[in-house]
Amino acid sequence: MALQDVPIELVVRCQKGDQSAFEDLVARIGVDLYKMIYAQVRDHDDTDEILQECLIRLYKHLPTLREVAKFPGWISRMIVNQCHSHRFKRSRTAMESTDEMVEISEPDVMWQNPHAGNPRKVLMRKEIQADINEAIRELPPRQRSAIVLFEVEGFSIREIAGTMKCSEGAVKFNIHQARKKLKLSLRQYVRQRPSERQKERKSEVGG
Amino acid sequence: MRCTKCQKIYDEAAQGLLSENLQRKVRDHLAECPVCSVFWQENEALRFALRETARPAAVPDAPYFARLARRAVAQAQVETTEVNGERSEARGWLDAVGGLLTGLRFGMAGLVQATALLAVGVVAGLGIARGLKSGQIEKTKVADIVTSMPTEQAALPPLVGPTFSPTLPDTGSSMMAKGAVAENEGDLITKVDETPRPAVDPATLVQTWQKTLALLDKMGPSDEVERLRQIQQVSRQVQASTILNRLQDLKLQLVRTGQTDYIPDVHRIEEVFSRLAAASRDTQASEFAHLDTYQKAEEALIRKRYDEAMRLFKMVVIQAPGTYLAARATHQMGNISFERFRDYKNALIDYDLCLNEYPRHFLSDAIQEQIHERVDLITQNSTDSYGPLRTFAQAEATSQPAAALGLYSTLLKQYPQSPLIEPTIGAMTRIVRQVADDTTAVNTVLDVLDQFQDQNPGHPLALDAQLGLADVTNFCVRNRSQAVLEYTKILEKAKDPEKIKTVQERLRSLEKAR
Repeated sequence: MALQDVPIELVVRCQKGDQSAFEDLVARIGVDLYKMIYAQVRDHDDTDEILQECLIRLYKHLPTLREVAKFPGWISRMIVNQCHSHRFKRSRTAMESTDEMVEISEPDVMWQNPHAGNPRKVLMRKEIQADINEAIRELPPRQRSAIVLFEVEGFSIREIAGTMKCSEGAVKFNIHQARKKLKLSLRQYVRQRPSERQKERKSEVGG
Repeated sequence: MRCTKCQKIYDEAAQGLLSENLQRKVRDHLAECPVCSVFWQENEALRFALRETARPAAVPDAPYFARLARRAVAQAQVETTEVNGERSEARGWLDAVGGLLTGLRFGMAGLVQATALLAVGVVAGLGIARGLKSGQIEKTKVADIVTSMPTEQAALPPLVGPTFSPTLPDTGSSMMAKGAVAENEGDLITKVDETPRPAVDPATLVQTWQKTLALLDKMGPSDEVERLRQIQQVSRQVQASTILNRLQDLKLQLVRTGQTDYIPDVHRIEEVFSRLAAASRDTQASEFAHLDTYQKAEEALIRKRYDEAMRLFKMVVIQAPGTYLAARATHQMGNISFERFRDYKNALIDYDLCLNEYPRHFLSDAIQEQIHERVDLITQNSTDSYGPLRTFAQAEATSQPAAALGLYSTLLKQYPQSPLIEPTIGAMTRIVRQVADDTTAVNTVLDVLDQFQDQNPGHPLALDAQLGLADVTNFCVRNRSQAVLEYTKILEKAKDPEKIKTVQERLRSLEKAR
């Protein structure tokens, strides 16, 4: 169920501290929240942690939400902020304990997908996925949130501005910057092949 | 259609917001412009890649979410119980005042009295501010405060004399105090030119506030309240945040002077005035609904638990967006990013929010000035991923004079156009005076300053470098004749009256020594 489709009555019941309503709410929106967080952090363990933290906050602070109709925006904002602070916490921990740093690889989830295709393709896809995930993780929090919300979640610029509590200009700027960085780090996948470029140049000269 | 326009409207096009006419123009342009065509194709490819990889290959099943929900409820309940327990212990002596205020909260009579009390607070704040300025604390007796009440509320004097640091206690905070070297953690490098301290001890101010509160506590429906009613018109014109800004400044001073033991007292006072402010016409109770969280964040900050402080400040911003406390929390987040984490990009975003997203009166003038200075520094030192700022901050934070000098030297060599050059030259000169016996350090500084002059002949700070050289020659090398020669050269070129005065003083003292 999309966040927008959550029944208002359910949110109101949750606000009153109804635990079964809360469980119902999580059952309905849990998958969406999981996907939304994963799109930003690109790591299952981190997603798990952030989702847990978000749900605690959701239960604690939902009674303070004055306009129930704004629930989707409110929860999106909470997720974005949690992702920011999680990354922040991670970077601090990493800075403080570089000696003990161990490379943790992405859990191998591909084998769980029965439709993943032949092994060579799976391997290639895994490599691409890892590179893209890395590039996304490298982005500053605001740029990452902006580009993910825009390109993946399909939020409008105005909605992102509302979620990130900044101006529409700032959102556009962040998206632009993120795109620039991603194009650079993912040039092997995003840029056109030299042969195609050459072809284009030739046609340009010819024209 | 121009290329810039074609590329600029990509986001609108992606959202399907373009008119048919514009869509056609874009299509036509893309057909004939290879640059824009590549730009669009790359963006599309990026979007495809992001979307394709954004979704997890496997998503947990329903029991997982049910388990998570139950765990979250249990955890939230535990946290709420803990917080309530802490709150009940912390009330203490303020219970009486709190009870009185809660009673006054509703109804017209309550509003009048609360507003009147707020006026006392404002006037007391003004009294203290004026006392601070003149170096004396005024009496806090309510009647005296009322009679001495100023008529122009707008002309509030600043609470602090010198440039003060943000809430964070040490090194990085002094970064912006031009001409002052940071006192670092080991105190190995000390200030030569001591920054003046506030005229009044902040602890005395806290005690004064406490007396005022005690007076408020004793006041009932007496003549005093009737007299205060007369000034409610004035108090209405004063933003509630004015008085709270005064308290904020007071906290900053306490941190700066290392008297953080008084912070809990100020927090209690702040709570009372927040409640008073919440009852006045210009404010709403929701403005201060998250004061507890904010205060906890400040306490975490003082204990140097920056992650926790950041988390709590963020909580305030999320839960009370657009409010007075959110403005202050955003400012603190900017400070943490700037000073502690040296994450200048995020600091810039937070500072930008402070200046543009919140009403001006939410942050005191002194804080706003500091933010402007920092924003300038960040934007002017953005080369090499904020290299100059990072180097400067590292130099300030290090407790080893040799390491600090090395970092300052790097800054001078690599970023001669940075606005941090002036404090860098000052810092180098001062540090080397502390380690005058270390000939290697002295020679290094002489070389670096000399090189800076040679390589940047038209630099506006070349004369400062020359003055630094002369000072090192005078105080460290103790070559007086050479120093006189250097000072005389500077005197010939200098136009800045302060510099001329400094050099003349140095020459006079050299003559006396002869």
